[in-house]
Amino acid sequence: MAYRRCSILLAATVVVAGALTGRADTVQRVGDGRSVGGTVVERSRTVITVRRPNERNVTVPANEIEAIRYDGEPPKLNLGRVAERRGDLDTALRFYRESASGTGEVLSQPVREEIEFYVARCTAKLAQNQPELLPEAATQLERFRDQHADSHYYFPLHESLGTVYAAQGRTESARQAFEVVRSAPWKDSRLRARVAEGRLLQGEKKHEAAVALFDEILAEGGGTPEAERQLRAARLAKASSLVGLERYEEAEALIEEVIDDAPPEDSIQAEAHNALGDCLRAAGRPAKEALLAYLYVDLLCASEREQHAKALFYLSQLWEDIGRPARAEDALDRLKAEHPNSVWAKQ
Amino acid sequence: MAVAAALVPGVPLSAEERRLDFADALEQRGYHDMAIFYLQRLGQRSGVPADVREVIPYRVARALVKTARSKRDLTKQQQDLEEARSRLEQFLQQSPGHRLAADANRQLGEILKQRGRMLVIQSHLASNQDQRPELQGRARELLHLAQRHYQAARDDYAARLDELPRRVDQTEEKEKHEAQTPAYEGRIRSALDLAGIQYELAQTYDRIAPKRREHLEEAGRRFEEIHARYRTTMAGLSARMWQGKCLHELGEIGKAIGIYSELLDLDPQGAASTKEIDARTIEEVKQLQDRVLHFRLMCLNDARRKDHKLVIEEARQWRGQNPRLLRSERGMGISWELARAYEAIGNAEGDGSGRRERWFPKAVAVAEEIARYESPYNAKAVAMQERLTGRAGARRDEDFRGAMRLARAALDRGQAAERKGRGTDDPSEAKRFAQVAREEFAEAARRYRDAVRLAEPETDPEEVNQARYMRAVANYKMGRSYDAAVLSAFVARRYPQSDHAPAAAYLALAAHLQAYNKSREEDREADLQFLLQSAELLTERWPDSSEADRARIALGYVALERNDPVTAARWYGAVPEHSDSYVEAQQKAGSAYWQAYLLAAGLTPEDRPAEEQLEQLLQRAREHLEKGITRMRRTLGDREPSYDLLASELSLAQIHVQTGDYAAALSLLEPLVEQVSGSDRRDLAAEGKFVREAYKAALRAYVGAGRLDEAERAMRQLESLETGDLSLVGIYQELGSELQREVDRRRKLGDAEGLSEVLASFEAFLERMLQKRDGQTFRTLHWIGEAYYGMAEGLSSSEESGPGAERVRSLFGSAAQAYEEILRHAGETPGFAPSTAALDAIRLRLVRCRRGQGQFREALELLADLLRENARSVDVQREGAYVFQEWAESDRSSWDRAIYGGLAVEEDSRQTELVWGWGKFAQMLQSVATKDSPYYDTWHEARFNLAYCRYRSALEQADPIAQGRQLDLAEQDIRFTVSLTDDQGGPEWYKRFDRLLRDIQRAGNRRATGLAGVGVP
Repeated sequence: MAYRRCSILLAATVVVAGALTGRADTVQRVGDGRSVGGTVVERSRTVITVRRPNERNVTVPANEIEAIRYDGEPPKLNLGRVAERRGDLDTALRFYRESASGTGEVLSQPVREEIEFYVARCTAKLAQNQPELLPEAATQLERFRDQHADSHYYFPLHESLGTVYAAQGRTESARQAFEVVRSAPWKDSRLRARVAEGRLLQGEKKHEAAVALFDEILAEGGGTPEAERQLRAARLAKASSLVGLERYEEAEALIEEVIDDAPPEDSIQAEAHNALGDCLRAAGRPAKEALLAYLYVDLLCASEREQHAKALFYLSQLWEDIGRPARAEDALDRLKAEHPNSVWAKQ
Repeated sequence: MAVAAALVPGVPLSAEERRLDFADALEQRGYHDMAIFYLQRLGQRSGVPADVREVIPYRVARALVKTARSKRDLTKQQQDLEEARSRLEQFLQQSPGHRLAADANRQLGEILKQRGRMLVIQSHLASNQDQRPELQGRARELLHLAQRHYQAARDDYAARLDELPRRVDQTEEKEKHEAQTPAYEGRIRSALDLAGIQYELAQTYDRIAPKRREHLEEAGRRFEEIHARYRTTMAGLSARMWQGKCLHELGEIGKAIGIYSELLDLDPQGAASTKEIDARTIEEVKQLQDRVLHFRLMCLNDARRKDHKLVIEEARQWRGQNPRLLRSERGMGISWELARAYEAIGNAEGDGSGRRERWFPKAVAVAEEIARYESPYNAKAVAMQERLTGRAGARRDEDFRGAMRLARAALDRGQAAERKGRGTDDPSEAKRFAQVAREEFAEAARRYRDAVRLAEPETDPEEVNQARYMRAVANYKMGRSYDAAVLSAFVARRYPQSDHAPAAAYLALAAHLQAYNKSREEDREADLQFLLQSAELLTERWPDSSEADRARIALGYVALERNDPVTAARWYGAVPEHSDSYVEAQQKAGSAYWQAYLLAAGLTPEDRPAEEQLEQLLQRAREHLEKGITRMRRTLGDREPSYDLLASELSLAQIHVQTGDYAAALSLLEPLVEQVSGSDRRDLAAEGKFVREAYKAALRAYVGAGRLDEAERAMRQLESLETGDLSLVGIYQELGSELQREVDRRRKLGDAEGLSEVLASFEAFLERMLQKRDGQTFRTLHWIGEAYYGMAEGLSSSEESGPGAERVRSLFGSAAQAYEEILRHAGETPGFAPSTAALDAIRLRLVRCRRGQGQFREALELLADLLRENARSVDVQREGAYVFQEWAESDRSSWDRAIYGGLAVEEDSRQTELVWGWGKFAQMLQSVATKDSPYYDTWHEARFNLAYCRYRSALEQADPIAQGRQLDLAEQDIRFTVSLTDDQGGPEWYKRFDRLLRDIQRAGNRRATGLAGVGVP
């Protein structure tokens, strides 16, 4: 029901209180996109309008917005953003919370809204590795959804919400959330939502249906760098379903394709190599082959924390299999030391 | 000799090198075997670019050289080196003009040098004494051959440099600069290699041979030259280090130590003189310094220096600061010198001094650590272990079985110490045994781990799994819960067919449970999730095993801990009928449903489940208990009833009592009481409270049934069970509290008839007891007081006015009569009360009764006496604040006294309030009211009442400004309180604060947003 109510409000916009008072806000775009400075005068689910110092209005599509830095926001807020970008989620969350409570000054509504979203998003990310946080993450995201129905974070919010629901095993709720993301006017968002929907099917062991969906996604083609990235994610996800259907050779070929195709520094390399390791293990290939795949993640993609923890977990088993208990123990020790909160560390 | 790998920083990678990043990373981690495997697979794959394919033989050879270094088996080492050599020759033959040809020559030189070194090592073995000169001669030949390859590499680098302009503008001619840098770097490296060969040649001669000296001097001279020429580069620093090494071997230890100190003093970050050392080379400098420290420790351990204690100090300091480097080659080198220093000091102590016992085990421990990992020192470390075994009292586990035996023995010793610890009453002894047990379990864990490592391919996998499982057991015994959980889960998940798998899965669950019990409340969620996963594994994979049943019972326990009795009951109820734990589980399921009923019945009407659901809980409680009882009775025969049976019957009787079915209760209780009275059964004694609980239930049932003679008899029997007055005081307080809860529950459920029956039956009994003039004891009067008090408290919260309120006042009055009777007797008869503290508690109860009767002045008089004796008593101060609060409630004035205190007295010529009031009371508690302290709840209570009194005071204000101010203060009190803790005192306090805040906001004509509106989720 909540989704229906929200979609009616889609066209609504929020005129920002305090506009035209000479503030200098900055809208940061994702990636290397240039920031836009001025005063944020209007916000909606799909676009932000900034009044530039020359009194001309500039609009920024919401999917290009990484963050909005409002004039006079607490200094710690940006420290939180930086920490979140480098994956230090605990620190980020601490800074966000301190920003919300520590200044002693009354925060403006838009700043409060930014902070609330960051806190919810960060908790959701943490919850992927700490399942005990899932209920809290869901509550925060739902509250944000209900209180800020026209936020420019509307679509990313639903993406996080879907991920959290999926992790909680609330498949139908997750599907509804991704459906909202699918209604976004941008191709990359739609693709992301569809890939996520395919993953839900995988979770339900409906591999045939998932493969069909991924094929549909792949047939759509990319166009933008982000859309290309989503297509690679779809190929990996499809490979995972092929493994589920015991079509190992096809799966391996598809994963190798992603590995060759993706830029070497792209974070998807970690996921792809782990997927390769999973595929080779499932296919009953020599342990050393899977070992190499997981080692790639351990050695070259350790900053992808979740994938790294997974790789270490399997390395600890595979080293044992090939008669290297000391290396197995080393992998296990590092898993416990470097990812103590990871689900892999306590399996 | 190996020199620092990178001489100058910042060489950009070429295209093929980028493709080979992964192989590099594998090598850097020391996984040379995997690097070889990867490169070989890469060579077999189609689509690999020709430039990558061309360098594969070279790269494989390089990894083979490195892997050979780590092999203990000399034959295998030779095989690897031979293969590397052939690959390099293949590469040089196929690509003579390749830019890596010079490096290939260096690698070939390296291999020949390695082989020469091996011959030198062999020449030192006692068994090769006769062949020594021959081995040394062959080593020299190989080293000379190596020298030629190094020279070829040097010439190649020099030629490449000559082809380039002398000065290259780095920005204009980037490509040339890039080509020049590796050539420049290679030339310096070759210079180091050629100097190093002189050092190696020196090693092919005996210590006293002049040729040895000549080569060392030549090496030293060359290193000095390199340092002089390239002192600002890593190569220069490396040459300086090797110069020191040559000086050491030439006997000039002082000079060598001087050079090492110079290098160790170098600050990598601020070395202005070393202009090429920038941020990227700091790590390389650090690595060099670690190596320098290793060489320095060798000097200090030298027989001519013998500064072993300094070695110990410096090595331990380094090891403490660099735990992650302990397994690196340099870390092993430093550890090896530490072991040598311990041994040397132990040797110096002399036989029979007893002090060797102190040093040799330390040497053996470090040697064991070194022997565990691949390094050039592990053969020496094993030899040291062998040498010192026996001398140090150290044991050695040579093979799997030996290690298992030692592990088992340690585990047995640990368990014996545990038993002794349990058997002693002396706390210091118990502590000592616990320490011994911990050490033995740690030893056992180590030995089992060694056993797994020592397992041969032909070792029975079941035995290896047993070692893994037992290692987990030892860790569990040590309290290392997560280690135990991970290790045991490994066996359960990886070897599900193993006989040990179900037990391992259960151990994983037990370990998570151990962690859960140790964790702080807020950290428990993660442990719970893992616990559930372990349980799921057990119940899904081995659903019929006894371990799965134990898992279900453990999960029931956890659910109870989490105040979720329904879930607990479901877990208990899931234990199948054929299980040995069935009866125990049924009894626990019944009790859990009963607990769930009590919890649900105590909720407010809006939260409480429907009556049918409550009835269902009750019904299930009875059913489970009856099921268990029937099953046990059926199979009992002539045997004595088991504890489980008696416990189930008692639980069922307690339910009957609480639901007013006294006849059914007594039909169970009478035979049960007969069974247990005078029984010397150890199982009942071990359960302590069992007999007492049986009598308590009987007393309650007799009172309820109106059989007052039997009730009195049961009471006397209960008294006869207890040896001390104080423990009986505890029982009566319990009885009073139970009665209070029952009254409260019936009141909340609207069970007017039941409530009236309970009150009437008890009042009749208590009246009868109170009127007895003879034989009144402290115990009897206390019981009467507590019972009246419990009933009054149970009724008081809902009966603030009307006839119900009159009844409450009357019950408080009767309780007060009993308490006054105690005080009167105590005044007349010394020794009537068990202690002064017990009398103080009675006086405080009397205050509460007076408050309940609305006799506030009398309450204050009594309080004043108590406060003069101890003004800082938490219980008394709280009662004081309540007296003022209720006084204000009753006459709608004087809220200030509840807030700011009252009952003024003069103290040190100053006026002070004996009763602090909620404000000061909360302030005094604040510093001690941490989350795990018993005052946490009391502090929230004080803060709540403070805000409440301000709110009530505001309502009394006629002036709207004054009223607004009071309301603001009340709101601030709440905001402050909730900002100090992250749980707002728990869900109950949260609700109360939230409700009060909404009232305050409404009174101030503001939107009632409650706590959510002030940012508390």
